[in-house]
Amino acid sequence: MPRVTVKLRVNHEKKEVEVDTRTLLVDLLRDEFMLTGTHVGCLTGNCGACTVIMDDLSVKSCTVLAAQANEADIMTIEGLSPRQDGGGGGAKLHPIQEAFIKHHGLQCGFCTPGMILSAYQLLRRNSKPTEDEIRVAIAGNLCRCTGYQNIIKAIGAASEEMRSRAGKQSLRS
Amino acid sequence: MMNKPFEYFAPKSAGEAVSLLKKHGSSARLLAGGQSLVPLMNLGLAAPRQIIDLTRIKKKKDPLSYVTANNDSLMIGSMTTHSEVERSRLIRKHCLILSETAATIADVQVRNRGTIGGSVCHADPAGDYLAPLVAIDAEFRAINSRMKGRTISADKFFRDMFTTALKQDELLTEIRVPRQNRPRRGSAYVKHKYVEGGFAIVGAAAVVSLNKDGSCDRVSVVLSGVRATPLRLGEIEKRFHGKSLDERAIEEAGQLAYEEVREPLSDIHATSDYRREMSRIYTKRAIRLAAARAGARETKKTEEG
Repeated sequence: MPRVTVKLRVNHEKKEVEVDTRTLLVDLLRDEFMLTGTHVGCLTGNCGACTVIMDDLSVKSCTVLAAQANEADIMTIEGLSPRQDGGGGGAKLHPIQEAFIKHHGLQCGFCTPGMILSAYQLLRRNSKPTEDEIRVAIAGNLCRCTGYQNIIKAIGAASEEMRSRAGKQSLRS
Repeated sequence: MMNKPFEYFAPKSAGEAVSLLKKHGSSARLLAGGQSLVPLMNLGLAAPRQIIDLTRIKKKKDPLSYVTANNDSLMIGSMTTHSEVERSRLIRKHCLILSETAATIADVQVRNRGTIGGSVCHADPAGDYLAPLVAIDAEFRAINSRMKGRTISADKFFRDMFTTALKQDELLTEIRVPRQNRPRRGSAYVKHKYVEGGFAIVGAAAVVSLNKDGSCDRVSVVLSGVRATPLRLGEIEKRFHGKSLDERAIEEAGQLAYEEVREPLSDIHATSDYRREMSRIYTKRAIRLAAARAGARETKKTEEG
């Protein structure tokens, strides 16, 4: 079976691995690196449960070959909460994660990692999104439990919290 | 995991990519953004023996991802993503219809990865770019394995369902679109979809040019989703030259669309009859919006829209 070497950064850590060329990015993350927060839903790019951040852009990792992630910088849900040293995977939750808990933005949790990373992508580009903009931003993530309303609320609340924290930060400096 | 193994190539230049295409023939597939091809491979509906990944090319000095402009046209590299087309200031300013179209494709994640070149080469009859690119008379630049270039007009590019005019050893490198921001010209793309970001059940692209007296100089309407290839509604183009584009004319255009779209495609999302009826509605909506953008006096919306 043809194989390919992939060198990449995952949640700030350098990795190098040789895999079957058929390996998808989502399989690489889950099976090689045991980062099982990235979920596999449909394998057709519809459900968004496999959403990760690749070179600062949200992508559906079931539609990306592992080989295509060569030299890429990947962030998964495990890398979202910041560590003291600036890396990911810290004990403290990211404000988006906190808002999802506070506003009941999840029930079974299957879609949640993808949903949160889509919210993360949105808030990086647009710190004060309208409700419509939030809806567009999560159009690629299906949730079969919540009916989306609380997810939308959670993202709105996270954006407020993040702006308020950024405001305090800039007052201090 | 996918059933059939394949060899993976990541050429660094367009030239290297076309020589790999030439070498491996029809068992090889070019991989652009992968938003159609990878799901098709996951489903077992496509099983290429060789994958030639074009994403490595764009970062190097032989880019396929860019947007530039000259006096008449915009040049868009084939590996430009839908997100880039959606956000590009040049495209928004000079060819708004294309940004507007890109924004309707699927969702953020797919737009971050999918490319305009990949989308047109995949030539899905319900693909969003097809109708607008034909309506604005886009041109497609391709190179072959001898590095010889040629230009194909949008009218001749789409040959059949999932089939383009590109030869076995050809690579689409650039899409050229005439600048659309002329005085008294407006264009619009509207689509009927079954879910947010879904494929077009019917997609309608209209370009309207008005004369100084407000009468219609030219109106082009192209539909996607109804036939194997984009359908240019020739009758509409003939009928309204020199006439006023008032609401009665738009109503008539809708009827002409209905008559010209005989026996459109039928699938699980829409029957043939439904698509035909939607062709009428969306033709009217596209012309109305394009005419308003061209500066026509506000036309009144009828009840059915």
